[in-house]
Amino acid sequence: MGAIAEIDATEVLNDRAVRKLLESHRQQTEQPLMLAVRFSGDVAGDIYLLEVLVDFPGADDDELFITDFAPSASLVMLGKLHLVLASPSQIRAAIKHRDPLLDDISKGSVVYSDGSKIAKTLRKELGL
Amino acid sequence: MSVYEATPWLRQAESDLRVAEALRQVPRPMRPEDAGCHAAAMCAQTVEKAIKGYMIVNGSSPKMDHRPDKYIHALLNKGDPLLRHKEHHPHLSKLFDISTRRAVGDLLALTPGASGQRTDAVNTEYPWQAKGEWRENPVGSLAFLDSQVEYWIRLARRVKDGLHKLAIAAQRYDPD
Repeated sequence: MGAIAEIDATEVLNDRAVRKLLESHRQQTEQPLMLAVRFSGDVAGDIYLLEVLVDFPGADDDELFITDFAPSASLVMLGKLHLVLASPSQIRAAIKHRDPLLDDISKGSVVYSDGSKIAKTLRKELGL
Repeated sequence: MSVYEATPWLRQAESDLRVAEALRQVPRPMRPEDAGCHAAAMCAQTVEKAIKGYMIVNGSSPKMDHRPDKYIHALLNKGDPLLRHKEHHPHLSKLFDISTRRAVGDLLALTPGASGQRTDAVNTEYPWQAKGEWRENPVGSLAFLDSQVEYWIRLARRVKDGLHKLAIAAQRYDPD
């Protein structure tokens, strides 16, 4: 019973953290958010989030860019945030190169889409 | 200082890099010998602004000189207070390997004034002395052959993109 309550508390906190992040990110005009996918990774309880950004820098075939963040005063969560950032072209290159991270991403859920044609196509290509 | 204050620096760095790439195509009325030194100057500007922008991401005000490469050593030291975003350390170590650090130093040294008051320093803008006489100038110099400029552009692109990605990640982690 205690363990279940703990898992629930983690989910509630982390769901809130993801909502707060997305609320902020969808308002950004520099590198606007096109598509966001929440997925599960190696560490249970951590947050894994892919964000596809218009005009994200780098070559079309750059590997997916991943940074890990610990909780902070402005973002309360349990565990870490693993944020994957990419341009639409970099996502396509990752699909082409069969990046192993895509196995996890394709089992995730879309938590934001800007509704554009490219976002819809990317969802299909990612199997979402 | 807000992480968002880095954006104008990185935006300008991106523009400088586009100009470098355009100059290498020798648009009219330029002559082929004009391109190298001016494109190299834009590459140096790209790297300078990208590093300064990244210092702002870390809450520091960079000195307004032309040698921000002096900060790279501190950024590669995980315990250094100049590196506020410790989570960036693995990316920075990969980005600024030994050969990249050396190349960045060589490129920034080409900025006029970067070598102090020396009159014999090869640079992107002013004539320089050889054997005590004003003999050389940037336009058409062997220091700015197309193959060398191509290398500078690749270097500037790599450094700018690497630091720009880290800046965007830091901005996205700061939802307030």
